[in-house]
Amino acid sequence: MPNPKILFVDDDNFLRKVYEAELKEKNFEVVLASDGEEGLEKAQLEDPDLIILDMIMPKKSGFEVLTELQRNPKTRNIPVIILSNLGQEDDKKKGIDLGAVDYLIKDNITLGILVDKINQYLNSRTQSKQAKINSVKI
Amino acid sequence: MFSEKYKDLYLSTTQAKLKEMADVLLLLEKNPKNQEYLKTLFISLHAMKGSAATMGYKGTIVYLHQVESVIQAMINGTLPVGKDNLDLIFRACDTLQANLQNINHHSQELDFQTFIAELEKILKSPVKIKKTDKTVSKQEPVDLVAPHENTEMIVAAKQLDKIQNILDDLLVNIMGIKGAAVKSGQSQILSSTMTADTLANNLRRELERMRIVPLEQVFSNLPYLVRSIAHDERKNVNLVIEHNNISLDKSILDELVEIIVQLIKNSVVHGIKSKPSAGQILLSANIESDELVVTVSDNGRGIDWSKVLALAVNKRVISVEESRKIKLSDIPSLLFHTGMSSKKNMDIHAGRGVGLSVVKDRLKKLNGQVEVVSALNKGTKFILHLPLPLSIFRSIAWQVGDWPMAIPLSYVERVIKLPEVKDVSNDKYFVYNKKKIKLLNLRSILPLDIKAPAKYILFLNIQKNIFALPISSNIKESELVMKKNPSIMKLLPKFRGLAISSSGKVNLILDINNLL
Repeated sequence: MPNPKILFVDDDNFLRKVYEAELKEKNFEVVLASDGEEGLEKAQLEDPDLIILDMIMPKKSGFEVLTELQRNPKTRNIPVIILSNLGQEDDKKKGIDLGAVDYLIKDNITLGILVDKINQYLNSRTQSKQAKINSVKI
Repeated sequence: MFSEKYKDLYLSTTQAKLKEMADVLLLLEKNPKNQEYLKTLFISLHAMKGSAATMGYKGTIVYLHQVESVIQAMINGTLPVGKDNLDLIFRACDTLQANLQNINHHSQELDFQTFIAELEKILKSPVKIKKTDKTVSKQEPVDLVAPHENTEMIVAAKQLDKIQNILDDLLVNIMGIKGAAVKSGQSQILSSTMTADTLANNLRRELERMRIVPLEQVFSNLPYLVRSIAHDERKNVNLVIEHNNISLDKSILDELVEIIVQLIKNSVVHGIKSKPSAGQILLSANIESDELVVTVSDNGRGIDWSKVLALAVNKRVISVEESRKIKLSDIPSLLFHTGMSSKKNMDIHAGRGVGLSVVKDRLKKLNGQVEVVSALNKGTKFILHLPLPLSIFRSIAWQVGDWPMAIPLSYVERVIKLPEVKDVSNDKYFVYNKKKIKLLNLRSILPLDIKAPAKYILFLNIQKNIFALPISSNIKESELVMKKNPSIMKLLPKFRGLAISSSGKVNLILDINNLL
């Protein structure tokens, strides 16, 4: 099976480089985007298995990106993990309401936790895909 | 969490963000009503917080959060965007800068406690400003577009140095092969060698291009520096920069900017007068023939040379006797003497008591020179002359005893062959076309007494003055590759370096400045 493809959307140069290197080391294929617009574009072009999304970004904010991802049938089912500095409960609720599977705050996340979360959502996605296929068969 | 592994990356990217922040602050200071600037600041801080969090720098996160809150309060209109509060943010930039230094040198964050307390006080202060009509200023919208960096990557300068060294060795070897190939007379070997030579040279040019940084980029921090020193000195200073689109090797620029910073500090603290009208400092860079000329001039109070002389005697840099005999043109050099620090100069900026002597030391590393022109109450001008770096260059080469010498062709104005050999080792001048031209003598830099009579005279053009250099061996013109920092040069400090010819022969490159 090919390595799962992760789209990492963050305007921060440093974070992109660190996460790219670290996720590659953990055998993920990594695609990067440095603003909301590029994130949306790559989500369609690259068909990633999972998206990690920052909130405060130029061109399009993470919230806008989420909304548009949900609107598009092609990208609707890609699990999105929000990785943000915004720690307010309101923001968190808004993110989840818009369809993100999880909301992580940069200040207290470690790579280990992030990788666990990624695997968790990747598994549940394959399972749900599998379930769909099964249901079709029946 | 990744502390050491990504430290360099963290430092360089955060440095860039801080720089951006300082730039926006300067803009905000000019247009305090522009909300866009505040938002940009907020986003910068937010990004820095994300990086710090990833690195696990807890104190930094808390501090950044606090600064963010100050900006947020300004955006909300609960805190005025006035001079005092802007100064506070400028100081926060300094603190964050110091934090980077600390992380760099000690792998540890600053203790932010007092800094955080300072910000808290502001945030809790009950000052409310009247909400004036909130017309969002329409001028100069800030470009929030992230630069497209996907095709770029950051490479440590050290890494480039390593490649450069390997490439230099390769070039030297190829030159050796070239010599042998020519001798062998075999066209196939010769053509392959020539191709290898071309490729290696292309590689060198590409590498040199990578090392080249625009002056503009290095100078862009200076307005912030000037503002900060001027503020501490309670002076009003306007810095004008003319970089003339010059780009240079980064290693040289880094040294150069340190020198410029010292001169600018000196101008703000000692040159510019404490007047309400703005003092002016002009920084300009120009390329003239094969040197870079940088001037730092101010319209301040100028240097009182008699006071300099008195101070030099007082500090025992020179004796009373010497001070009576000293030529007017020799006084400026006293300024750069290590012993010239005065208590009065020992302030935090220009001072540390070593200001201008540091300039001299750093210039020496770059083989550069400095001139000072000053008139009382008109201002002071420091003129730096820096030779441009050599890599591959054409030269005139000859022998002095067993020593193979060379000098870059760019210095050579003319070569004349003497009608008959002539011993000039005791002469001061060489007469040519009825003009007396000062003779240079290699005795001053070589541990040899050169007695051989001269066959040729080289006329050298050094900063627009002509000098004559006698040569007693045969001469030839050849292409040389400069060897960067060979360790043996420590033993021969008076030379500019070693360079290697196509026959693999090592030549000592004369340092013109040491001949004068």
